[in-house]
Amino acid sequence: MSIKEVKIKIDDKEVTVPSNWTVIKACHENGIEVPHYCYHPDLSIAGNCRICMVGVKGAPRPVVACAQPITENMEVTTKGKDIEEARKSVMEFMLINHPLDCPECDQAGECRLQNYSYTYGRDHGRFHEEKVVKSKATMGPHVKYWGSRCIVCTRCVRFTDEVSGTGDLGVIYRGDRSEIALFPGKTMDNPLSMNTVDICPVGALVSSDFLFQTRVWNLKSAESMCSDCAVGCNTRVDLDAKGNIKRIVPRRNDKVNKEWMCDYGRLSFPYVQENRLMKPLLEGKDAPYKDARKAALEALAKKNVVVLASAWNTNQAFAAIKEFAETHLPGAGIAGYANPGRADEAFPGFTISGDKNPNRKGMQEILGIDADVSLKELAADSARIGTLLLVHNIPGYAMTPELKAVLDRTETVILMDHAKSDLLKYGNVAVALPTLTSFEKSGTFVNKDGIPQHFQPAMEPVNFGRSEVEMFHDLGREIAAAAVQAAAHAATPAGAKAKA
Amino acid sequence: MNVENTGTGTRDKDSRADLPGSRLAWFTRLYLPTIAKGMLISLRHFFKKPVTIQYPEQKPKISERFRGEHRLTKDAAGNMKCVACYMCATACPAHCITIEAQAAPPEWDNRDKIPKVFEIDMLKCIYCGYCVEACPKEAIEMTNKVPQVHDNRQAFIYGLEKLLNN
Repeated sequence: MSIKEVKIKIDDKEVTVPSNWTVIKACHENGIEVPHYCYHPDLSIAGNCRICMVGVKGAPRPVVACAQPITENMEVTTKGKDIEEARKSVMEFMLINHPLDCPECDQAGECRLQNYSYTYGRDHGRFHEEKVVKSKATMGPHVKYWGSRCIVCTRCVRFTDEVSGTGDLGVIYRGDRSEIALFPGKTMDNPLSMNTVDICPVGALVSSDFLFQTRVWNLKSAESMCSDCAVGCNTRVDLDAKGNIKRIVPRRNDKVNKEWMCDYGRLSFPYVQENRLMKPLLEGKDAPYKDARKAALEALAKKNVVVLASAWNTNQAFAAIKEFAETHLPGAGIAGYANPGRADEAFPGFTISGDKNPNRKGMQEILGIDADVSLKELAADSARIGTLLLVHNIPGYAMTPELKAVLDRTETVILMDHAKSDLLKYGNVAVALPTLTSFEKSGTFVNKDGIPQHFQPAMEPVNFGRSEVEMFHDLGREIAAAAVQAAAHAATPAGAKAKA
Repeated sequence: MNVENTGTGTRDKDSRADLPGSRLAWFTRLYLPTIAKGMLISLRHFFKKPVTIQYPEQKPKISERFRGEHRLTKDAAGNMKCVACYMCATACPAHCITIEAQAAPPEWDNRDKIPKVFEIDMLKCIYCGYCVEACPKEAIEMTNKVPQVHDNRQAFIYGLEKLLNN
């Protein structure tokens, strides 16, 4: 059947939607809220929670909006007494066996059962029977299951079937005893497991990393972008009152990551707090910026300067490097390197890139350098390097033989990095300038599909660092100031005498 | 207030500066009758029962419903009832409650979560009782103990141990 645009009416509002949509999608796309638990735009339709009841003209009773296809001239009502009644009854059924342990539940505050209870719930339960108590289980290294809270919407089951393709989960038992369980011999140890925590509309699946950390209403959220691999998932960073990152969750972007994200990216944030380079280091000791910049400029005035930038830097940093090198470092070479990659991890609905660099494409676009080729060439070259300006910024970098070969034949290294990494142990680091992580600065990364994505700082800087753009700006200004000073000195009689 | 425009700017008609002294009658200007009236009131109190007590030798009788220092309650098994839900901290208008949660010991089978840290800064507390009202587990209540005085600020921060035995 060909897809065509059809006219339908939702709450007396005329809209035009494609004929292959369902009623719930037509409502959501047109800004009309329809409550739902089991429906998820990226998963197949289950139609088992029954809360998305809407009225359709001609139908004898309310229908579930998630499973109702659009037909020409359909008239949908999402409000009204009978629909309200239907939703209220569904809510009451759902809460029959719900333990109401909101005080202990991590989902409280972002729980659909709570939200819809507020709209459709009763203020008291009418059931006197004993509640069915279901099992608690550990599903995997990052996911825990509280059976009693589960409403068996099967979103997680469909996720493991359709997106992660691991098929770990299934529904066991029947009726009010039905619950989610792992298939025998399986654990949810795949790198997409924590998506099930996000899509669980209640507190049944919770993250063991975030468990009991804080209540969600105490979190401040900031929009950000994951820099863990070349996919560039859009994220929301949740920070506590002290400004520490508590969790990272995906943000919908249909072009990049839909609503998914890998566990590596979610758990990538501890490096922001750990082992940071707090202040500039001069010969291994804390030094003021002024002295560090002076020492850096002295080293950069030497012969055989090479600027080596990693593929973890932003487009803006690359542009600043290019401009600085062209203006102030005549004859300096610019090279690039990258975090060594591994194989892509492909799942039916999501691919985790094996390229653990957020901006390899950006480097190619702005500096015209292929990171791997560039480092190989530099490593193969045997000429002595006078000063190496290393713009690093890769968290958890494992030293590669190529970079080691480059460092070994370098006299002086000026390092720009956000952490006190192993690079500092190589001895020839004369100056280390503290930079910011991608959570603390703004910039643009170009992902593996060539989509440029801008991000803003999600938190206050942990160290006294500056972004690379600011750093190069400062260095350039220092050079310009020195030039002005020299010119002024030359204009004085003493200066003229010295020249003569 | 009566304000009239005199042409030189607005002036308050009732302000004292504008009252000419001659407006008070000569009898009032003596002030003696008013003083005598006041003395009479004082004199009357000599013959009444005093309302003051000799604190601290003598303790006042404090109502059972007085909102004094907090207490964390325990269940029948002697375990604290608190499940670290942060409701009290959320409701607190003075932001004086600090909670950090941890998983409950496995042998406490009726809950998953207990507080690791539960601190009330008594210097910040305004004794409004919202924490008691917010608590879903009846785990916090107010005693009729009059807020105590300490000689250092740290002593005003009551921890889990102190609150459980208060």
